[in-house]
Amino acid sequence: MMEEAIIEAVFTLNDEEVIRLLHAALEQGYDPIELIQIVQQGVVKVGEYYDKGEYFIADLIMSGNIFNQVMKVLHFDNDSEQVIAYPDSTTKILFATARSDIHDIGKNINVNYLRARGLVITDLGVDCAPENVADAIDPDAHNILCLSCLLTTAHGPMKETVELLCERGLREKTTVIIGGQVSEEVKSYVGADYSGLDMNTLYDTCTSIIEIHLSENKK
Amino acid sequence: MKPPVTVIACQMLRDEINHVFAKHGLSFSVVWLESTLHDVPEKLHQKVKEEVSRITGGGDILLAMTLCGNALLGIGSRTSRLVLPKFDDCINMFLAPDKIETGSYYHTLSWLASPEALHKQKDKYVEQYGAENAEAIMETLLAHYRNFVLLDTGVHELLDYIDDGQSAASKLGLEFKTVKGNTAVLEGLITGEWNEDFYIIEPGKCLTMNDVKRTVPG
Repeated sequence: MMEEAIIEAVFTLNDEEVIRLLHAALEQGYDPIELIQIVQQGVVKVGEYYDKGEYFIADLIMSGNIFNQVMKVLHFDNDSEQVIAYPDSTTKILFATARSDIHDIGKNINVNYLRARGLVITDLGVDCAPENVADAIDPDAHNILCLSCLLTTAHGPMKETVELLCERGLREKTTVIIGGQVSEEVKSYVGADYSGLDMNTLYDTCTSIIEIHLSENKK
Repeated sequence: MKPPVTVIACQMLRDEINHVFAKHGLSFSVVWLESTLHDVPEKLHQKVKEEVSRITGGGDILLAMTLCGNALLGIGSRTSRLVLPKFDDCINMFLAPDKIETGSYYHTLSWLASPEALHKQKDKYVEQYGAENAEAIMETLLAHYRNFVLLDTGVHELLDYIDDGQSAASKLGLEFKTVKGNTAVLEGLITGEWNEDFYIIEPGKCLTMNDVKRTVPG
């Protein structure tokens, strides 16, 4: 079966096989959107194995690379409307690493993963000053701010960022999720709403928030 | 007679710790922890907790490691006093803050020689995913690094490692540099000179975020 073969090839991180199967599927008349969804199932499986500790960082990076190759083969870019999971969403998702921290592997993996599952992400990059993060928050939308850090010394800047959101009256419009080297204690210190979510929980959390705000807007 | 001191140490610091023992004529019992535990702070936390709970004689426990991605938060013993260097990671422990450059990837000489060193990981990725994909993985891993810095803690002969360091840096596409560090903090830990660079966690207490936030040097 074509579907299972593609999922398996993504899961086993065999990029050449994925691309070969995609071309074969296109020749058989598969719809490109359907193929993206099939590839996404493979990416989800890689994410689950990473969360279980059976796959490693390089495997995750590789699955992101495969997804990007697939998007090229199928002539999509990440913001193509056809592959966006919530085209009507008014929720803005932002990612950044806190000031003083340039370690962005975790951030990039999550950004790639969420994009691969159809979410639109604004990536603010690394070493982001609280002012720059606060400037990027959309006061007319709900925001999900994902701040990541590897260094303990970045906890202070994360806290300052949340404090600045409070000062500017943006805190209620922003769900703050911290990731990387964090814990429940760091969450309390920083004043965040969530901490240390695995990739699939992060996806579920984002989509729940998007759905809540979509249904509120419809009222 | 005072109960014996135990050191719980990261394998990666073996040469430095043995150097301090030799220099000061000391020899405590050491529990060596695998250096790969560092990659998963939860596992490191669990392992340190386990090892601390095995030591019940009441002697001091010297933790020859650092906060290591918060892995040491919540660590404490009911019966022993714990002492831990007050640093974010080993690089900070060996180098003065003004010598640490953002965008530099530091390797101690022991780390350079270990199978987990990044340039050796790259060989594994080439084997697993092919040269082009391995290159892309490394680009992601090293996106914001410019320099490959060999950190000389003073316990090895630096000259013996220069060729390997240069070849590792070139394999990773980074500029090769060296920097001189020292083992003063480890010496303080082992010789009992516990100044403001150390957490002292009394029996029945554990290391909390409040301790860390008050004290981690910049």
